[in-house]
Amino acid sequence: MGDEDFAQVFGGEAGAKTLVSDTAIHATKRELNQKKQAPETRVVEFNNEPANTGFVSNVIKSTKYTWWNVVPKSLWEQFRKVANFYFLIVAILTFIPGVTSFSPSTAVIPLVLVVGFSIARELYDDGMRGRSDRRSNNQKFSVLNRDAKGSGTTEEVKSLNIKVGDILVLKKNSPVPADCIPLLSTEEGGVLYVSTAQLDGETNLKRHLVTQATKDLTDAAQVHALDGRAEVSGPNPQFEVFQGSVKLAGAEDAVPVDSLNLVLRGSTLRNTEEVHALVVYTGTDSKVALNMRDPPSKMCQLDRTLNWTVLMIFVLLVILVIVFAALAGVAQERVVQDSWYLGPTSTDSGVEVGFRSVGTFLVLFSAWIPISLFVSLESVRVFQALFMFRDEKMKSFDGRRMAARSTNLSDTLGIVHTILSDKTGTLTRNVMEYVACAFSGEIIDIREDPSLMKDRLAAGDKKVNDMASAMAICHSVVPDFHGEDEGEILEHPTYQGQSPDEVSLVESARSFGLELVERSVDNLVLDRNGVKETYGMVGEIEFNSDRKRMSLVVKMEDGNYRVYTKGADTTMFPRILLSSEEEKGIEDDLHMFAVEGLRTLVFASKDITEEQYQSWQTTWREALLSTDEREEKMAAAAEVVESDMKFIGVTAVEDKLQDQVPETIEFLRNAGISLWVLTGDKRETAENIGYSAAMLSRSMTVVHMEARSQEEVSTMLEDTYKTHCDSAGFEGTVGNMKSLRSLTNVKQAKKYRPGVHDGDKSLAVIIDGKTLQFVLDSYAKYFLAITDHCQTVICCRVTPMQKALVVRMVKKLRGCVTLAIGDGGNDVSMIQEADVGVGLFGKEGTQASRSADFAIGEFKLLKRLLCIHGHYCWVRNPGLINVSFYKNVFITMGQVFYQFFCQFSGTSIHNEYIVTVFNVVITLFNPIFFALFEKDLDEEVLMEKPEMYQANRERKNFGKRTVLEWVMGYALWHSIVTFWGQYGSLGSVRESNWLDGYEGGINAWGFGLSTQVIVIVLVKMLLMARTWNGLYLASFVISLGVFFLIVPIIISFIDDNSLNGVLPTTFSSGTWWMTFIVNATAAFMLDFIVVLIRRFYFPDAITMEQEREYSRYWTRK
Amino acid sequence: MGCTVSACAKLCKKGDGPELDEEEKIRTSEDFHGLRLHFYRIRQQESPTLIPILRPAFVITFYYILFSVFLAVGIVLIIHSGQIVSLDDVRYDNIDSCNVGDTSDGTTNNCQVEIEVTETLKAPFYVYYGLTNYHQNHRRYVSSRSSQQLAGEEQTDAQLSSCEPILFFANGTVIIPCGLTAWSRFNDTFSFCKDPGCENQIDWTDQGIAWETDEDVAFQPGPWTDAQNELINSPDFIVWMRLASFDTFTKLYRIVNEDLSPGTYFMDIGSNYPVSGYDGTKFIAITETSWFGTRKTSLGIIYLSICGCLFVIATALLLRHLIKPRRLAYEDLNLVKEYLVKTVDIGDEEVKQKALGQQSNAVNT
Repeated sequence: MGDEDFAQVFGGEAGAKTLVSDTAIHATKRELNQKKQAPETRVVEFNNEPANTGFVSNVIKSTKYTWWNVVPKSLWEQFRKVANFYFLIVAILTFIPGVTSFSPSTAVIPLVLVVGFSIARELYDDGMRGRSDRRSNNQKFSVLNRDAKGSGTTEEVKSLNIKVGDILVLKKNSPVPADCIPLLSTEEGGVLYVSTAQLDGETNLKRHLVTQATKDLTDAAQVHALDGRAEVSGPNPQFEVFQGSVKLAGAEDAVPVDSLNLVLRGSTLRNTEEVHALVVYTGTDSKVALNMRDPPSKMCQLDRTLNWTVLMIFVLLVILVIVFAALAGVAQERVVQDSWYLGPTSTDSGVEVGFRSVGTFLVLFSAWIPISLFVSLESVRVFQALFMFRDEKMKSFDGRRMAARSTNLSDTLGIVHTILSDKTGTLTRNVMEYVACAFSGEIIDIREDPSLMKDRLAAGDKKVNDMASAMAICHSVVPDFHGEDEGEILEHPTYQGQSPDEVSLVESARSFGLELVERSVDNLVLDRNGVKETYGMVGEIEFNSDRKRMSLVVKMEDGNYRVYTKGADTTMFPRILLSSEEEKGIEDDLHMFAVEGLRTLVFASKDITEEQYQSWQTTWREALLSTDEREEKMAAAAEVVESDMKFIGVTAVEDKLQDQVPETIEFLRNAGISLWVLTGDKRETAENIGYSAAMLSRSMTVVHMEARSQEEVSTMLEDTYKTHCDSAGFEGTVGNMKSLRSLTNVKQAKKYRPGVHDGDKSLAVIIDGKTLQFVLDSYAKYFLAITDHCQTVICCRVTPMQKALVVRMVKKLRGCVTLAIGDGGNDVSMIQEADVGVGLFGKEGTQASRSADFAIGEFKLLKRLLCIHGHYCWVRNPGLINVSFYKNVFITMGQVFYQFFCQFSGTSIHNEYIVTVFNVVITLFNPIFFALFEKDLDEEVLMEKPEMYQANRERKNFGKRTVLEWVMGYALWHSIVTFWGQYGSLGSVRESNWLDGYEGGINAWGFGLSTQVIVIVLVKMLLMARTWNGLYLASFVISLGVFFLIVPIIISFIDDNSLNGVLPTTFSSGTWWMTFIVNATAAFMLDFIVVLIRRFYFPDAITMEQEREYSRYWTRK
Repeated sequence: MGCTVSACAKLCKKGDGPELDEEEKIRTSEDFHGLRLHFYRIRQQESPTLIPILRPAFVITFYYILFSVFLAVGIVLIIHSGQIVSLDDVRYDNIDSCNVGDTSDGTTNNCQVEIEVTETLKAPFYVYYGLTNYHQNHRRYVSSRSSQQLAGEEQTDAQLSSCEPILFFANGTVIIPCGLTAWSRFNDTFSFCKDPGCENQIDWTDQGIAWETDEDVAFQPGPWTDAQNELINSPDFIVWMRLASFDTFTKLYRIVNEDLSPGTYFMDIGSNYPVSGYDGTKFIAITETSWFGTRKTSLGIIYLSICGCLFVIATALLLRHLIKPRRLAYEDLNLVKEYLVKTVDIGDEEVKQKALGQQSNAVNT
């Protein structure tokens, strides 16, 4: 279907198929959808241990290692990494005699250090997990005595010994050790409250009920004496999906139980003295355990390029080794076999020597791959995360520090291309404030006069009365009189509710004079100016994101039944009886509210007779009890009461923008980041927020995309493209698939872009959820081609799944770095899908911030996170990697060159220990300090000038070009200059470089070369940094000092005298010093030419800004 | 070469925001300690820093100064090197009576070569023997020795395994000193005479031909026979054991402590060492030294060529700077905005305009 349409609309038969298959984003829907298991049922007998068999124990185990597999498993984990495996092979080769003259310690020590560091970190993490496991497994709980049934006595049981069918006795503030069905509560009406902060991060208390079957019981002994069975659905990971029934021995009917009757492991009992509860799911069957999975590990762009580079470097090494092994074979045949002084073995055949030399060179050139790089990078990123965490300026208004959970993404923050943001709670505060209500044409806005509603309510205005009553009744909010302090009872309750909108409505009803004072399982008590009104709650149809409405059936004081429903306008309109006039009036009101960016809810009610109620009650119960097609049956039952309703009014709630949101968005946009907003809100609301948050401006062309069919979508896309985008840059027709495909690639798009815009006219697209689905299914690339021309894209009325799919679309098809930011549970999938996920510590729980890679307190902190921390990390980490490759290739090239003089026999010109120390000590700390403190520009400048972020992002600090520059440029040139310069001047025939006439020999020559390499590498590290702070300068001095101090240590430690006296000999040679000076000058000549040409004749914005900054220092007093 | 033109210490600037509070809190706290403030700054990445920056005038001047220094050094080196009296190498393995053949049969071949001295050789001057195409730097050769044994320590057979393949005599006793290097030691003998009959020998010494550290530490008598100890401690042996870096090398043989006036002298050679098997040659070299050792024209040439490069670079920069100087951003604040347009042109037109607007505002204020 999609194929045909596309081909029809855009022509290009041939390209159509590939394009559609390319854009098959929808194929991934399934993965994102949590899989819906068809739950088999399980039967739990009350407190009857022999009958409840075949269930898992309550042990929780989250550790990766056990005592018997810790050694093999941790080693396996380490040596799975290619670099470590390579060094393992090198270490093994050093143990084979005859292959190499390197002693095993030079290969083993660095490997042990590197692997040991990683393993220690792993084990530490695992130990922490194990400790918390043991703590929770060994915590003691009381259960009703398993053997003495009916006595009411309890026994203490460790958490790990709790079994299905046990009846737990939970005290106030006790954690819940397993999923269980409460049977008895000390609170009135069988109510109990739990906090689920550990599970979903929601801070409000959740109300649960004991089963209907046991609600009349009063003491523990009765519970203990119970015989019965609970038939419940099998374990599944969805918190809300739980159904089943409880049948007591002797009772006629089974009583249904649902998620309201299930208390989950991981929650904590609150405001309830004591609860008896039947354990139904234990250990790995509990919902929290089924929900536990490793967060998707994200691989950042830098690491991907790094892996590729390591692979290339490795391939280069292999080629080098093979060529040199072959040359060694040739040399053996041509020269060595004739040399009597090389002993009897010199007569080995060339082929034999060639094969043996593969091992020799693998070991000799092993320093080619920087073994310490991965450890340095890892630890540097940990420190960078620490810097972010400790940054005083990253604190939010309430003093909360940010959290950096994925340390490996610090540098990715510097190259973000597209931000996909949630709206509510992310751009806005998520502090809801009731502002107005409307009754088809009549608007009462309390911002004009706060007492307006109150006065009219007091005056007995019927409309207002209905409105206020509906606001006070139709909700799931619970009043809580408990104060912050223990035992404190408040005069007016605070309200606990899952939706801030509801809470704000209930609070405003109170301000009008209708105070909610009590909510028990059956009743809801309102206080109307001192007079108590009691409403019986006889039915509730809960809110969910599909229904987008909730209903409450109440029994009025006069005995009549009434249904109150509130919900989104789209779902409410079909259910309300309205004249067309009224409808128009309401639509106008809604439009007005939406334009102001207010969130609206439509309220309606319906009076029903007792018979109607009873029949509904029966179908509803049946639906609840049914195990198959439950949802459908419930929807059908709900339909009975939620139809032909009477309109009450529309409420409008304001959600204010957070501090500095427009400024931040403006800044980020100027930083070359495109911003997408994905929201579940109405188009108008979203659009309005867009204007107030500076994402849209009057000068923009705003394109609305709302379509109901595939044809419509394709026509719309084509029109939009033709009108707004296809002005230039495209060769040929719109249907030219080739250019279309390439356009969606960032690089290509950039190339086309300059010609595309007419003047400063720019485009914004607002698309709704349904249209978006068509786009995701069939036209992803085409849509992206349009959005390439957009400053702003707003997707409204999207589901959480769509959010994730949009992120995936942008990430995959655009190939750019995406950042998703959100605060609620509905943003989690998007946050996990994006290259970088940022969570806000939100009002809607901490779920988003806990699953995010970075969590911040306010939206405006995103600016500092990206433009300071991201920017710096994208300068620092690439620098660290570049210099690591450089230094190792540099020192190894000396070995390579020397092979031409020693018949490719594998003699090491650098002392093997110096190479090892070079790798793991001398040049370890300078790059790390570089990666911690380098600043290419001052913070103030970065915070003022968004362009610098973009300039840095486009700079390509690490990639093929930089590796070529550092390895093939600096490393090669420096090694050529030092080696051949020393060959030319320090003497190739007469090595007597002293007044006393004696010769230096191979050891002095090698030491002279090593010293040159080390000093030049250290100086190069100094030169690569723009800022030198005390630590960086100190690391230079210390490294140099360590080098000189370590030589005597090596001499005393090793068992040959190759370094004996070499240091004083070398430094007493005038020739060596002269050589060193000229070599260093020649080596850095290249660096300076490159730097000068780049700085003076091809500068970029950052270079210029650096120069400007320099002048500011001088003028500042 | 030019990076640290002018470095200026930049101190933390006091700005607004919470960090100031924190810093003030530390400053004013009762247990104020400089270190705490320092740690705070490190954490906040605000430690004082030096910022080196390049300016063309500096770089050009620096390169010209470096050029003149290198020029002077190069000329001095070449002149000085030329003043050192160094005789031409005298090859002797091709003299029939000195030709040992492919392998040694144990007999000594004697011959004599003439040494022509054209300029006075001032004391002390040095006599070297040299070998070509001889790979002392071959990996097997380099590693085939036992440092402990040479230092006089008795070793087990296992510890001596590095000496392979020259470790045991045919009867199973350990060779002392073991290893290829010691086994293949150079054994030609020389006498330097003023007359062909060699009745009037020139006085020379082998004291000081080896490194002091080698004589003092690395080569020590051990619990072996006197002959073996004498060999290990002989300067000639120690010199041989300091391996040459390349396949053509000289080794110091004797030091002459008297001036040698021009004339013809004679070197009596007892030739034992076979070289023809691997196409090698043997020669004698006699030379004075200076502070940089033996004559080194190459060092001077390297200095001069690098100094040429410096001159070319400095001049090119100077010309470019004079003809078409690039304005510098710290002299012309508008420059940044020009380069913004030039280099960061992927932004939307409006953004760019706005950026430029901001930039000019910032400049104006």
